[in-house]
Amino acid sequence: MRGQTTLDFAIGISVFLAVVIAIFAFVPGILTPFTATGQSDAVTVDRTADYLVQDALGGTESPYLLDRGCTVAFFDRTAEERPDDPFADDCRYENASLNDQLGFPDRTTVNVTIVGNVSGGTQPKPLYWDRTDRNLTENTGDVELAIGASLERQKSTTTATRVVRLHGRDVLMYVVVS
Amino acid sequence: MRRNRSKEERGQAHTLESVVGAVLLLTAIAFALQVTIVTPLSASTSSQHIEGQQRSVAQGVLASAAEEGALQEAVLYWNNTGSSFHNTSTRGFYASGPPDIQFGNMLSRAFDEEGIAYNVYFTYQSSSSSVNRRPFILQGTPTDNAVSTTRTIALRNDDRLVDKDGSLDDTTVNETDSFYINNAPSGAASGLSHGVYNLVRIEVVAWRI
Repeated sequence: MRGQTTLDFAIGISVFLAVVIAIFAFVPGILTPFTATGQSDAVTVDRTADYLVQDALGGTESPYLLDRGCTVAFFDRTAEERPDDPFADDCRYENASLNDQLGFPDRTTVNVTIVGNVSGGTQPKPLYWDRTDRNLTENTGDVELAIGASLERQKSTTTATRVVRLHGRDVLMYVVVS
Repeated sequence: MRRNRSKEERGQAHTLESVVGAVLLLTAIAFALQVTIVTPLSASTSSQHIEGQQRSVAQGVLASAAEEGALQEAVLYWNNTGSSFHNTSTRGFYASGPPDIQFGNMLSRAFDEEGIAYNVYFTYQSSSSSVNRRPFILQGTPTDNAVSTTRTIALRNDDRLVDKDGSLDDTTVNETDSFYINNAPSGAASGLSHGVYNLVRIEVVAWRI
């Protein structure tokens, strides 16, 4: 009789433990959509994209219509350098590194890329500015219209998308933060 | 004997308790799952972010289209003899895709490849001072998470209709009766004068499909 009691108790406690373990396994999954991972990224990346297309590169009186000279100068540098184009002195953004211009701390990875479809192909491609032809091109040109470190594959990123007008064409601007 | 029976009953009580406890916990989980059900279309911070991006993209399309005069072209893309937009037959609006004009191509470049559906409406003042809303592109009924963006342009009396191939017609909006937008009632009520024909609000409604 004593042996049987222990068996009942063993069954009972194992069912109980199984349920407890199942709860611990399930509950984080239930809460995942509501936890605050990357929430602030969505806001900052949206503000950054708005700042770029409505103020820094576009101008407050002509939002979404980018100034070609300022835009090319903005992209004409490596990630750590300042714009070396003298034209940039007349632009609305500060002459500083990318993270400083956009107000991000140094550990944040920011990437700004302009893609478009200027050749009539099927897919939009990263665009370049050709200084000699004075035109946008999908082939490798003088100034790559992309800036910022390339993003690590594994990290989660937040993207803001804008359609802007640059040099008479409607192109897409992506701002990615991770 | 009596001692043994009480032992036996104690064992049963343990099993029953654990089973009841398990049922309680499972019920709690089932309830929790029921109240927090999340589908790909339920509202969350990420879907709010995506809606914000769609709104900004639509604003950018409208801004660059307005800069190129592509909005005027779309509003005036009217078949004067058929009394409809070009190539829409009796339906009266574009359903399968945007027309092959600049504004249509811009919408297509911005939305079609991202899997976003959109409706475009033109809103203007009718002759009876009420407001008419005419669909230009209709791709379906927007979902609860659709976003809407508008931009207003002015039509002038001497604006000319646009032919099927995108060239300007000889007919001005003021000369024809078959154009869907009438001349806005003049006078103090409308506030339109100095050659302004009517004001048209272009509305883009976009949603994820």
